[in-house]
Amino acid sequence: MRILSLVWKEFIQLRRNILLSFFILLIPMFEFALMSRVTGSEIKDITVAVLDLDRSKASRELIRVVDETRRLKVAFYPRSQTELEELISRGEATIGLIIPQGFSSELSQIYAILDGSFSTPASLGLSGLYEAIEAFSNKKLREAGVEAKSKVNLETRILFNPTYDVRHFTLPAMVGFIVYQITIAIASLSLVRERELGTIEQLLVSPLRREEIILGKGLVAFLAGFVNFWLILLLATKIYHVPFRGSILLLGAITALFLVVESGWGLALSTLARNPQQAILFVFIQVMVDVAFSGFIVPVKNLPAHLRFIAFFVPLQHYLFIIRSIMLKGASFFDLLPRIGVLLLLGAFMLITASLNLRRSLE
Amino acid sequence: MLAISLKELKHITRDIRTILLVIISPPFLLVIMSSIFGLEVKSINYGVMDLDRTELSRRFVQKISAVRGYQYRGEVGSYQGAYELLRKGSLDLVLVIGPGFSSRIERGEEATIQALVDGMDPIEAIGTFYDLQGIVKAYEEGLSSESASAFKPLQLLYRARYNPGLDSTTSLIPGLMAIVLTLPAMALALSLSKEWETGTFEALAASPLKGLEYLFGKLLAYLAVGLVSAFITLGVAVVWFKVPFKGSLADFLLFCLDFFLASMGVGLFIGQSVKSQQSTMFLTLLYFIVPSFFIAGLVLPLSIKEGAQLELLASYALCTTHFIKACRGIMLKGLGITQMADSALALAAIGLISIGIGFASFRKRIG
Repeated sequence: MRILSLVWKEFIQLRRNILLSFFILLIPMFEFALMSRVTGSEIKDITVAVLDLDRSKASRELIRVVDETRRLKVAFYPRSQTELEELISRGEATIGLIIPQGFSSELSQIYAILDGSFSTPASLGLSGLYEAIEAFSNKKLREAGVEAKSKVNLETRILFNPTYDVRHFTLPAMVGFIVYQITIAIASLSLVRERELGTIEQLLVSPLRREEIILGKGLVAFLAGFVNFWLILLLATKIYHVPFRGSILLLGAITALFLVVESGWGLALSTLARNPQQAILFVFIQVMVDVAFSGFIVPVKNLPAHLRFIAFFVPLQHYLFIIRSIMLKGASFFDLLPRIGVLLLLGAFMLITASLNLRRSLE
Repeated sequence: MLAISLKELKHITRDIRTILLVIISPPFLLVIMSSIFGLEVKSINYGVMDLDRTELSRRFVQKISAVRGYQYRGEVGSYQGAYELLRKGSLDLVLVIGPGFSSRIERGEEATIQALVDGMDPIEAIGTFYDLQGIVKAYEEGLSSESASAFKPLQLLYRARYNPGLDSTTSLIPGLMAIVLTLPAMALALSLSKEWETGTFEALAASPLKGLEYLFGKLLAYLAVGLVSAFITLGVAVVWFKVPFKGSLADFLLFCLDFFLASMGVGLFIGQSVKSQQSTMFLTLLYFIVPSFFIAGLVLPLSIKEGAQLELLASYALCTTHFIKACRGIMLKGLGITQMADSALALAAIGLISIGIGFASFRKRIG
């Protein structure tokens, strides 16, 4: 009960700082909306500059096919190669296409110059070019009356996400990432802030035991994360229509476990820092490292063995796997048993280290 | 004023942890992020349900194992088993070759191969789909000795300027540099709101001019720390990750100054208008980190995305948008500050406006 009054004290303080409580609720929503808008949108209009040296019917036809290709847009017609290179150097065109003289009589080669300094649009544009060339060649083959007959028919079934919706993959991870961020940020600031303001002594001389102070502080971070979890989950499933195929109880329970681990870890970071400025910088670094290893940017299985080994110790990585599997695949408790076990072990380890560290720093 | 920035520099250096954090963490984060991006190797775990068990079906399976990144994880007994393994995430792909596969091919009829793909990660699933199409095509060509047609296919010869291998790390690292170098500005914002929180600024209230000088001195101190960090980060990128540096160091220095002016201006503005450190933390996160990864043009330019005009507009207000472009331009393309005047001016505008408002409101509060 005494712990509850400590938690209550925190909420009273939060109410007084309206701006802060606004941020705690607003920022997750904002991040989430931004992420879903940006990941959901289709890629179009990778700019192509065409230098047509042939000026024939065939070359104009090729240009039209390129322009009609999904993702590509012919935006410039430079008059010389220098002008074309200039467009690429300024970053206005991603691809420069050169159709050589004699193209219509030989139909053999065309040349492309790509802006390699920005590799993702360049690679996407290159695959678009190949697509265009294939379409052009097929058209020519059809006109010549040659028909290619396939021998093997590939029948592909995409399970769990048949529409290839990138949002369905990204948004569950985003839910996990946001609640993680809020929890660790609040936990890591809690103790160091009281110390800087000199109020920690007041807490220490109060009848509260050391464990109770730690528990109360951890509980506040946990609650902030848990409330945000349900809000954002609601946003994801109701507004952005991410499917939820598994058990909500299972996900709720694992989320609670995960948040206990992270608030414990946040408290431990809080004892490493001497002032809130340091604590916050620690959190920034911790968050970036965790995100790097979480599978959010690069799938963990695609990492080399030594980095995979590090990723094993990142709780966020296991949690993101779990939330995606439950939401998209309807994974059961037994499917996820190994991951839950790892989370429990990491949690026990972190909580023990954190509480030893904390007790010492509170003495 | 110089005395004040020296004092502030002393203040940060006295606390070795803070200076380590501000100087060392940008290069450290760059190493972590770049290793993650740079060392990625595709890995697709697949199983096979071969109900045909003939020479021809085995040959197809062999074709797959030869593709880079595809790892054979054994036979799968049934559709039920395949579904379970895909759901658990132990397999990414199961290929089903039905009975009668080879006899159909021998009769010259079209045979079917079924691929069950875990679509949870749609980007990977699409990649797998294209890989399989390529494998099938190569397999078909291997089946018939006669060439498909006498038609000569159109050939594309390409050359990627600035980055011949179209290597994504080379292109990402300059962008990541811009993002990790926002850290000094965030530290400045935090240190300002700390002074408000603990009330040291009110102590300066005696003379408003002194207060402004103090603010300016603080800015200079963090600028110095930021520059040191920027050059260490550049060193890591060029020496460790072998990213080419085609531009001039003078241009890099100028752009760094411009960028720190802008980012620290915004940091000053935030730290100045929000009193508590916690709120400052959330605001700096909101301005510097989160949008930088999504809308500042790190991986894709926003201009090629459908319906992202709003984000595109917002991205111009981010320091990172302009600095990412500038770092790429200087390092990979060898452009100078005059060729990227738009980015330089945008940064200067962000910096002057935010510093102006920050100083004005500081004066009002102290005076």
